[in-house]
Amino acid sequence: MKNSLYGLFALLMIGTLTSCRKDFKNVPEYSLRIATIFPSNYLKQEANDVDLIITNNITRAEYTGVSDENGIYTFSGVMAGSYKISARRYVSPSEAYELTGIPDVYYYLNGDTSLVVGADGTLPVQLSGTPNRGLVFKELYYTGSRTPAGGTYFSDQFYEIYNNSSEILYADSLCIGNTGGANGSSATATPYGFRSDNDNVYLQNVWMVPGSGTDYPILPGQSIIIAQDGIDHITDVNGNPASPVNLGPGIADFESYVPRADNRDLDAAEVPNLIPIYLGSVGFDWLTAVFGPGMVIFKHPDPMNLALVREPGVTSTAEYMQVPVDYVYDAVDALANERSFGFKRLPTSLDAGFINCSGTYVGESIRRKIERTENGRIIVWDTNNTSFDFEVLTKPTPKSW
Amino acid sequence: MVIHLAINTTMKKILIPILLLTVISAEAQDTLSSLSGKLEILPYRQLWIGSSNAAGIAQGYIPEIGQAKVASTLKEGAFRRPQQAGSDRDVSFYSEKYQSLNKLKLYGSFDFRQSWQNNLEWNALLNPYRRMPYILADSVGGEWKRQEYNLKLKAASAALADGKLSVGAGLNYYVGTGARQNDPRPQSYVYDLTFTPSAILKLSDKFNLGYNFIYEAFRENVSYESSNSTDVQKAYWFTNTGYFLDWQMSALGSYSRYYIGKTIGSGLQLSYENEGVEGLVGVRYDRRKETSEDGTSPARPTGRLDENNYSVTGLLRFNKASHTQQIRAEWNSHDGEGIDYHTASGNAETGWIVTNKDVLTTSYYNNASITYSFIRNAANDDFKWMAEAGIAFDGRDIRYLKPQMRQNVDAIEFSVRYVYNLTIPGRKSWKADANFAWRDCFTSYSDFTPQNGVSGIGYNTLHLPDHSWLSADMVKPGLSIQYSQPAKVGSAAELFVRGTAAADIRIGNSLGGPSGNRRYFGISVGAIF
Repeated sequence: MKNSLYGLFALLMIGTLTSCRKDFKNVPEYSLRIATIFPSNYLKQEANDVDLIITNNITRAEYTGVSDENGIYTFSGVMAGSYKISARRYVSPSEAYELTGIPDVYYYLNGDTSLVVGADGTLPVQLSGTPNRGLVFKELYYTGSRTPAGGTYFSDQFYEIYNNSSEILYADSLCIGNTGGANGSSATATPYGFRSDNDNVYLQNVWMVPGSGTDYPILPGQSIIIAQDGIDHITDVNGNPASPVNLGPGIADFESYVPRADNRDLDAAEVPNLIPIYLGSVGFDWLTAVFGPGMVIFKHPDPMNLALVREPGVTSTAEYMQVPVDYVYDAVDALANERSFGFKRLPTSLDAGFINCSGTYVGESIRRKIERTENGRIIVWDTNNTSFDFEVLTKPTPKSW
Repeated sequence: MVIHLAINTTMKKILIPILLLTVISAEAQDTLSSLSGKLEILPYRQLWIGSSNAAGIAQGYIPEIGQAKVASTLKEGAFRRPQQAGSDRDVSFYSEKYQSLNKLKLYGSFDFRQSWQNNLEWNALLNPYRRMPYILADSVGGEWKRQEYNLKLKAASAALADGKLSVGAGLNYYVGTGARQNDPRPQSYVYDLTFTPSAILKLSDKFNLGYNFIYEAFRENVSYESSNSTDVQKAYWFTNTGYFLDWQMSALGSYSRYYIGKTIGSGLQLSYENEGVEGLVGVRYDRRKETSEDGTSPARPTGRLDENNYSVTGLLRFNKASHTQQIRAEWNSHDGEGIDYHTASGNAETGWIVTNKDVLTTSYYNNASITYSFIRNAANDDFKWMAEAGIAFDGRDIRYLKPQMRQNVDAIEFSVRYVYNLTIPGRKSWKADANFAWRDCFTSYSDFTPQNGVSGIGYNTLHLPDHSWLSADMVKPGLSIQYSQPAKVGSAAELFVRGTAAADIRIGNSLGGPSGNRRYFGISVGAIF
């Protein structure tokens, strides 16, 4: 009898406890109404058919939608939190002509902003974009490589600029520079102080291609390479046998030689040097961040006299060259890791996204994806969104695909 | 990596009085009983000794008895949870003593453990099983070295207020440190202090009412460093084991996380004692909060566990000269909410801005057991043999709320145990302890899946194997043999040596994951006095 009671008690206990399940608690959810707006010089303001993505910065939960004819889309069931909002719109040449009156151009408009969702609300998203000017970054190799002994080697960095148009374009007076600002390698670093300025980009160092205007033509589908040091890094005694790239004559078209009293930077005699316009922070080499740089190419009638300004919100006296976005041909933001969005350094109109490699000194490069081929000429994606346009390569491909 | 111990000085101050307590001589013994059996059976003789009320050690009769021992154990085998080491070796020193000092009743124990763990993965915490959902871990396994100190003190007054009141206090202080010997190198320091002021009020000749307050302060400091400063390592932020966010450590820096916890609660007990019958009922409630913060400049709040813990225990004992029967039942429930802190980059002045903090995980752990014990008594509070049979339930309900995912595991375990204590003339004794348990999992469900583009590495190598282990049916045989004898002829103290072997053996494996068995071997030598 006693044993039966024990057994009954045990069964009751198990039955009671297993029925104690928790229901799913409700997480507060909100609706977010997005109003997409064309650039102010467009004849119409309500931007229809805009692809929208909002991404929770912590959980990476994504919500997608497309704006209606009134430029409206409402996301429902959005959890509270901080979000990245991306808006993207292709404007075809015919549509661009209707909207702007400018013939024979097309645009990839982007709207990129952040928002903290804590209640139902409406957010206007201003689209912006610069017309495609033909010259774009095709490939950037910034991560550096390892030496056979396991040391670090960064002198093999290069930047390849590609003619994505159907016309001959000239590299003469084309400027290239890198932004300042943290790249997200430290989660607790302060983001770039210029981030809120959408009309300018701020460069730490600026170089310029020499030439009188037509000295350095780039044929459609062709490219030029700007090397940190224009040598065959694999075979040169000053190089690194484990480097993945040959940037010697015939490959590199220019190199960034840093003039110093100690003449420490290697000056490859057969590769022309760029003209230093403003070198705010270089050592014996023009080393851009191996974690991920922000890179810009532009042309300006008087780059030597562009304004120099200090970064707001910091005590450093370092100055950065202010370049209006209207002069920028292309820009690419590379950051330390996939969660570094908060450290973006380029305005949305230039680059709405970013990319990251797997680490530093890993020999990886980033290269623009191929959109299509026309009569043997490769046309690459240029949507002003690096997240979409670029891919990571495990081995660089200078002057090749 | 050298493990730095900032606790040595403190421990020396604490250890010396404890050791002094343990060397006080013991009482004389009958030749047909042993101190060894008397110490082991003490929890079955004294009603309050297992309660959280420190004043309980002044209730009833507790002999002045203690032990000191050194031990070594080895745990190994493939059937393990993924956050457990492939093999775990340790050496330890343990000492405890019940002692009267004037009108005070005292108890103290000290435990030091040095351990070496191989192939320990997915864990940067000394104890990842404390139900904290926000776990920091990496996928790189390696060898850990750990040192742990645990000090327990109880003091209780003699009866005050005309014998109606007894007051006491308990103190438990744990310090642990551990470090892995390869990159990325997690190092952890844990400090855990529990204080339990207590009182027992005599209601009548048969009834006593006890109350104790519970205060616990907990801190764990975890830091990652890499000796190779150019490699980029990954540490993972987990929300339970089923959901995680990955994060790259800085190649040139280090990464740190701080867990700060506090528990406040109370326990209430009621005892009944009459001729041949005694019982104790206890209830306990406490609320635990543990926060997780990353970095210091500025600190970035990650999440917080709010947990309500409930416990009910019941003990009923029938005492006769020849034997004792006992029924003990216990239910523990841990009802937790994991509050995600979502942050956005601020500036140097604002630090990290908390954009929202929502309950995104819930956890509900329940365990209960009922155990029947039969003890054949021997002279001088010793025992001849003991048989036990028990049923235990273990269940968990863990949920992530957006997107909705849940994990449920319920298992029941049947156990039997038989201890034979053979005392032979000259106060020598052999003691054999054989036990066997069968665990049957009758609910197993998990729909946790990788979300939002994160890789499946944490899901595949941590969550799934862990769920498989939790869902496993297993048997657990165990055996220990102990021999003891007086330290020398006429000595009150006894020396003993004990060997233990046990195993967890999986039965079937329909879910995949770890299989085979996990083996435990231990040996200890010491003295009881």
